[in-house]
Amino acid sequence: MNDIDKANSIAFERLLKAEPQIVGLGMAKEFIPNFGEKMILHAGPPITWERMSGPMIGAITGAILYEGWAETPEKARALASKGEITFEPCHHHNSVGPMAGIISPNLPVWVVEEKNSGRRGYATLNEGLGKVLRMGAFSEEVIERLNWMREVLYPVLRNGVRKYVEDNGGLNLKSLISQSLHMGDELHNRNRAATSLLIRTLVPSLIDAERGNHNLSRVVKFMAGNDHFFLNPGMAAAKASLDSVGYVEGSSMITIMARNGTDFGIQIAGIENEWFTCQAALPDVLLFPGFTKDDVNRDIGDSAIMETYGVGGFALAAAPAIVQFVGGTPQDAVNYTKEMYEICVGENKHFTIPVLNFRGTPTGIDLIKVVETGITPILDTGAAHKEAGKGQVGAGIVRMPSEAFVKAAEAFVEKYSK
Amino acid sequence: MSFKDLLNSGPKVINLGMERFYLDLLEQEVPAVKVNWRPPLAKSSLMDRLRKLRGEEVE
Repeated sequence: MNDIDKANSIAFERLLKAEPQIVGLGMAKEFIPNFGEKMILHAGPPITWERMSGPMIGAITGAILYEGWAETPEKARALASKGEITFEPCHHHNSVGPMAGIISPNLPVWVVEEKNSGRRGYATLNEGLGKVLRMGAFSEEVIERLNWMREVLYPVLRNGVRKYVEDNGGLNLKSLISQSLHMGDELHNRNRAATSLLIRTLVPSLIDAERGNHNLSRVVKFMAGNDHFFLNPGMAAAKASLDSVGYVEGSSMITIMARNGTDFGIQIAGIENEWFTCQAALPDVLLFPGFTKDDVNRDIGDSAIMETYGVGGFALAAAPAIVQFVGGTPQDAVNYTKEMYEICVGENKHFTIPVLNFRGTPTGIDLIKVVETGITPILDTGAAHKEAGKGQVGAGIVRMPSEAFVKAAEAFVEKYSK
Repeated sequence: MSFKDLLNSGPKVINLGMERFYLDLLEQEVPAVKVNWRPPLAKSSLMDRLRKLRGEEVE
């Protein structure tokens, strides 16, 4: 075994050992490290306001309205363009966000802790599909829903989770992910089983903690009515787990893939905290009725953390029903998973796929294998309208662009040839 | 396989790269196997340096 293989083996074993658990919920500004007062976190690699895409601008507009920093969308955009708000990637704050990935100070977040390292990952509560902040929508209904989530959903859920943790310890997300792969989820675009398991796990504690609260049934209905409710704590689990890998000298294993709607970026375990970026892909996805290809924004979101973790598009074979939502056939889903084995360090012993005789999911993307084989990772993702405020237009399979991988390989060779 | 065999039994094709060639052969009922191959992403000089890092012999 050469030095790179040894280093990748260390990184891979650390990732497999990770034990992400929900330990609580809290307000972003109180829990997320180094969260400034007038700061908004976004998906993907760093980006300036001037280069942001429509859905990112729309989501930031919505966040400014939600925070009460401006009264109208026009004033919100003016405020953002003046440089009075600091924009930083979620990834720089141990956080992740689907699509635009916006986290503002007064949004409630899941607090997920990796048990062995104590590393924490944070993600907001999922709003549902359609016209939602993460897709770039900022209309009154979007802000009203966010207010309801903060005032009603958040305190009830926080108290229920607190009760669960007091009685049982942290809520084991690795186990939930593992089970839901056997129930037809791939954990990026299909979270129906994982959401159901999460509700089943939490409801007894919710009842214990909030008995008599007339909002309890509304909270449970909201969670049950949103098949993607699990996506956000799932992403926080993936983030905390990948962060627990840390820096591994000589490793070419990818620890971050993320998109901000303009750029795609990656980081690897063997080069600490350095982004390698290129233009984000233009998703060729299955569109909702009434939309055309011209409406689609470039690829966006931190949700690629799921594929980096070894699920999502990499576990597509586990989710034959997803093809109704993203296009293709169940055989295509199997083929995508099989292709991803070619670029991964190993197979996951915790996350397995029934239809492949319980073979482990392809896990730990190896930068060198990507560059050698010419196979870039696929994601199973949603697509946003390119204009601010319009929301989601479709979903499908997107292949990551190659240039970021080549840049990372050049830097890797440069660093380790010395 | 001799040239005569080829004429008598027809070609058996392994297709590398573009899937369209493979699909055209199937449509004409020519037995074919598709190998999912793409060229490496990087220039050969970078590939050589990566292989060297892994301890492989590079010409």
